[in-house]
Amino acid sequence: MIKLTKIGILVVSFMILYLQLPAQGFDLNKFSNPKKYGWDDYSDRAEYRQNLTERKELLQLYEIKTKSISTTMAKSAIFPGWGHYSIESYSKGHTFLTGGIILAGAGLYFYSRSQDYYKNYKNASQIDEINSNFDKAEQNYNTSLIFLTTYAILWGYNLYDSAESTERYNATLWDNLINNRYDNISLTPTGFEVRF
Amino acid sequence: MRQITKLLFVILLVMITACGLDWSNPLDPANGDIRVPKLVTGIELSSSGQGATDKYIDITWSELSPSEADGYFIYRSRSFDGTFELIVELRGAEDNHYRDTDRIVTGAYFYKMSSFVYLDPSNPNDNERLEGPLNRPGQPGIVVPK
Repeated sequence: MIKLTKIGILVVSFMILYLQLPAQGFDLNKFSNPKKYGWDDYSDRAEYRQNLTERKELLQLYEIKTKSISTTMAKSAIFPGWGHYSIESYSKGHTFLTGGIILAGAGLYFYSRSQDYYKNYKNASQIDEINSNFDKAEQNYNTSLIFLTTYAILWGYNLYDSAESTERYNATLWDNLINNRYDNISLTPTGFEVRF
Repeated sequence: MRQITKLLFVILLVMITACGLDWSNPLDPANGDIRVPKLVTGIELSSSGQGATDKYIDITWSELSPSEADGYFIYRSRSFDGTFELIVELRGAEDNHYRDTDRIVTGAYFYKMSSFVYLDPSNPNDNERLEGPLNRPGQPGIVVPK
């Protein structure tokens, strides 16, 4: 039994050695040659590694800063311009918000006036008051309709444009991140930003 | 997106053309076959003479026909552009005279008049009557002497 075991051990040892033979053919120099990746020396490798790390960071930043179209549209649906603010399109945001407030405010003001005159018309029993109140109610109602219709058009266009702008924003976001990364001085909506 | 924009414009167009105010006042002549009361004309004022203790102002006008009015309203003010208060309602178109004796003192008085029609003349209801056009504000006026 003991002899057999020794023979067995020898056979297994030879087999292991035999299997190790192809491993000797593995070209360690080739494997570890940095030129294969375009690196001439260690500093190239380090630079590449640094670049990779930066790109990973930028990718994380990109994932954070990229905007969903549906979210932007939902924001714009609630308050015109809100969606544009969220994608840093401040000029359009100001325009839509200001326009929306003015148009909706004027529309509601004239609608309220028309309802006051219409209430007076319904309660009037004198022919001049009936005619005068109805005319004023109709005049204010039509004016309110013009403002509210314009507001609705602005609201619809604001929705459409928020989707378009978000697509553009996402498309240019990566380039902007790259450019901003290597620009020490950049112009932001709140002023100049200097990185050290 | 373009289809949604087109749909939005169509909805807005329908809104603009479909919306409007209703002639919901039952007294509004535009709302149905309602008689429009005539303007009261020929109004003349005369006052009690100088030194009268019981001062009054007589108002006369050209009477309207029963088809034109069911009665008259008379308003009074102490100033040309002041607040005119209703002082009397006269039922019946055949009246053409009223004597105002209510707290008349020396000074100026201005009157306005109008006629009215009942919405349903066969069943007169004071809450359902249409008042016609008023004569020109402040016209005519009169000064009651001491």
